[in-house]
Amino acid sequence: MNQRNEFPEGKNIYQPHLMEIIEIIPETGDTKTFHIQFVEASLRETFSFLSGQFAEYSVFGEGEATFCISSSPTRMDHLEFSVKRVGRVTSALHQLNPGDIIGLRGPYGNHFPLDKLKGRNILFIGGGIGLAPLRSLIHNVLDNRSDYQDITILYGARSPQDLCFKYDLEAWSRNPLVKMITTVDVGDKDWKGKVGLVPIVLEEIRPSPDGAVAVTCGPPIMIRYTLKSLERLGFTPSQVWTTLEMKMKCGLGKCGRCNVGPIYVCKDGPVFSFAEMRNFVSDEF
Amino acid sequence: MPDRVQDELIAMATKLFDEGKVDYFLGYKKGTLKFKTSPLIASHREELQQLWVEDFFAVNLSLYLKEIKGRVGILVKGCDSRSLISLLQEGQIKREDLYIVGLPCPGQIDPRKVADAAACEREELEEISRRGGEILVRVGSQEKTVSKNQTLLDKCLDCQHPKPLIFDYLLPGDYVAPVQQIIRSQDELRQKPGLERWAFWAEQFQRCIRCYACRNVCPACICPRCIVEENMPQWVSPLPTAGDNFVFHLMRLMHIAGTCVSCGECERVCPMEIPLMKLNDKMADDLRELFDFVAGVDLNKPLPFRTYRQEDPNDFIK
Amino acid sequence: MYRKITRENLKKWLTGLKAQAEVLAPAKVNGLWTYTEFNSQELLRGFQNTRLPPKGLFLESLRALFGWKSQGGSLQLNPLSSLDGQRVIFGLRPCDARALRTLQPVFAGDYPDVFFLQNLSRTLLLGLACQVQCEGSFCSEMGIDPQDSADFDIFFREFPEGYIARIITDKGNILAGESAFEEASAEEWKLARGQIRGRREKPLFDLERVQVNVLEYFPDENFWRRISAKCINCGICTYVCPTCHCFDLCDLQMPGQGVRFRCWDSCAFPNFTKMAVHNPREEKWRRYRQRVSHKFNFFHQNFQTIACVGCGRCVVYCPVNLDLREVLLEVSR
Repeated sequence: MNQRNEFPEGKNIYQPHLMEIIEIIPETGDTKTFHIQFVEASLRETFSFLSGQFAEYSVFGEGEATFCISSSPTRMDHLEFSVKRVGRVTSALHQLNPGDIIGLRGPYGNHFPLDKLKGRNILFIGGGIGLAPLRSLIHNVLDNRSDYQDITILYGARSPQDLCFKYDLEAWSRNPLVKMITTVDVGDKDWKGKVGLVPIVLEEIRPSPDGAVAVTCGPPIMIRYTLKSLERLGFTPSQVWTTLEMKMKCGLGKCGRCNVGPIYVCKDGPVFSFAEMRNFVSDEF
Repeated sequence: MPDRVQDELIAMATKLFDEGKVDYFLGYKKGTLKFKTSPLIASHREELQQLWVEDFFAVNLSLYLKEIKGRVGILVKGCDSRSLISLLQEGQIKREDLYIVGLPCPGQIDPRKVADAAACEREELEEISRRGGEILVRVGSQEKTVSKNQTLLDKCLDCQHPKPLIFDYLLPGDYVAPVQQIIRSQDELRQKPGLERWAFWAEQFQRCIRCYACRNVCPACICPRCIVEENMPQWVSPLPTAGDNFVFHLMRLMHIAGTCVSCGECERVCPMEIPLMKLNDKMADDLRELFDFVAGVDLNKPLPFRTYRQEDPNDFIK
Repeated sequence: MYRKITRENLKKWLTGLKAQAEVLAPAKVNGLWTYTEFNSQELLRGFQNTRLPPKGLFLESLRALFGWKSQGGSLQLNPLSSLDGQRVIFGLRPCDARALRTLQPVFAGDYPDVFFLQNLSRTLLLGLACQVQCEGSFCSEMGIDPQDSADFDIFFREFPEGYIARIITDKGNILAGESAFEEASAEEWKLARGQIRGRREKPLFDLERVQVNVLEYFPDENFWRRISAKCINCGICTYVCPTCHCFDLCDLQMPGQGVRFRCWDSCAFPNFTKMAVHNPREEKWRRYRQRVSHKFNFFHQNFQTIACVGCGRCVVYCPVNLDLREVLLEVSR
């Protein structure tokens, strides 16, 4: 006779950890970076994550929203995430101050494949707020610099006012072991740097695909043209990685929202290589 | 329904397509289950062969005018035509985009009521047909006759508009109310004291699962983005609690006051069988009494809740 | 192991079980068949299946997940526990039980949903073989035998003197107890398999062909536009479906305190995939394509079972008679 399985009493997967906001850094007119820390001290020691993973952040009473963890696992004194104000939960986040309490559920999702990056040249290509998930990986890589070969960071935004993480951009441009190129689509009277769309600047730099891996994140249109440029430069789809965005809600592969074909972006992603994405059944992302 | 009506319908709809007068034709086709009629959205003339005019209740096709753009031929019963008038009044459709075909209706049969009258479960009904002025029911091998009064939809029992109020073409037939001289008795619920009515509706709305079929099937619900989908601010919670369900339904009702023509679709489609028409009928009666207004009848009479006049009373503003 | 019991004794046995568990059985409430507290009601005269599937007893349409109190600057979480207390549900159908088995891996796995899983483990499922093919149903095409199922703790077949029970699990055996039932033989069990009234001679479609073809149809926009033209984007098909499980998380805030709920949601709703910047499934045909493709192929790729049991509720309750059977038949060709 069959014995039906007993399911162990476990923790509530929907209940977040309480986090205190330590600092809020305005990046652009509508984007802020939050530095947060666990209220419960023991979690500060035990929590861990990998670059590329995301979490669900709660403003209690408003709801939850999905953001990648944009700090690096090599720097665990606090966690960071960045928020563009576009809707209800993001607007509520923008109203908060240091000292306020939010919730965090995670880390969820897969992560950037560090093993595929080790010993190689890495090309980071970011656009706008898309630098946030890349940033976790960049800091991770720079904190273990000797594991990697040449590192090139190409970052662009619509205008100088839209550049995010300016403090990082400055630090990277001063780093002799990093090639940093910042560009804007449209300059202003004070802008002394490069002007040009990211895919075009990419083709100007002409990075070699030999022994290289490209990691890119940004607005869909930038990604589309960047991918074309990378192809022209000789990069194969398995050499290029990105993180996908589809409406994610539970982060647990259960609520159904992020389901595209057999993939759940929150469980099978959000990090995918373009070789994997070519096999996706649909274009719905 | 006489075969010739169906043949004539197919012929004239085909002619509309052939003459390039319409891009779509909205009609009915045979349903895939007992006692069901399906809407037909035809975009090619071959599809018109499926046109069918059947005895069981059929969707108010004007709901599709919310999403189909272009020139549309549409089949309407008398009650459905009122929706067209409301939609025209609200500027949702243009008269020149419509070719309206009137359908004579002998009253729509409600299988639930037939099952009650024949004292069996709805699933046990084998066949329902008309014979003269009566309804013939077969349950198993037994045949029973039941009256129209017992088995037609509530709204058909005091049909005020058997003939479409607006049309381009009338299919042949008698455009008379199916049941003469019956006025539905006033809903008993209205006589009950307030607390009892509250308790009744609290129980009903406990059962609402927020499928939004009532809203989506309603031709009067025209908002491209429903207020329930708004979350900045959240006017109505999406959670199916009794209180939020109450707010959703009452808010929706007030929003369509003056354009709801009591077509009864909301109640027909509700999977939980909530008697929504009790509310719509009460609202329609109130509108008639307070504003001397009946929805979907007079294209030129201004909509009471969409019109502002200088002399509107405002002594309630303190 | 087989047992038998008279109708009267079954009622007595179920009543007796109320001392140790909540006992639910089908009855008409507000005119609709539903699983409700067993009160020695005349069992099941005319019962085929409930309006809403029993999934609502496991994956509730509204479920509080945790609460919080916020006073001054501080915030405190109030954890909520899953329900306990034994439960017995009598009169479940093979399709609905299979649906529960289908839902189980979704809510187990890496992140076990304690609320759902506890509901499943604290409930004993007592099934009843069908004698009538429900209108709109296609359970056989989905590989379900309306008269035999291993998805229960005890499975009953009606016969002239009462019921023959097949005891399937140890829990079922303990529940049956020593005295209420008599011994029965495998022969009697076999004989109790009756005719199913209204059963089709030939299957409507070939499920394997559907599973393969639905992927091929995926890029065919015209096909899906035509098929879904009359859909009105309500959630009825999702909410009456015993395998649909998509949900929303929503906060309810009151002065000084609040609760986060899990509630049912539907991929048919236009805003299901809406993000701040764009909605990948803005058009209706994309949503309908997702619904059918997910149930009949993608879900299988992840969980090795089709997310449909052919109960027929979506067919019967769709307001515009968008008949899934017609869709599957066309896809299978």
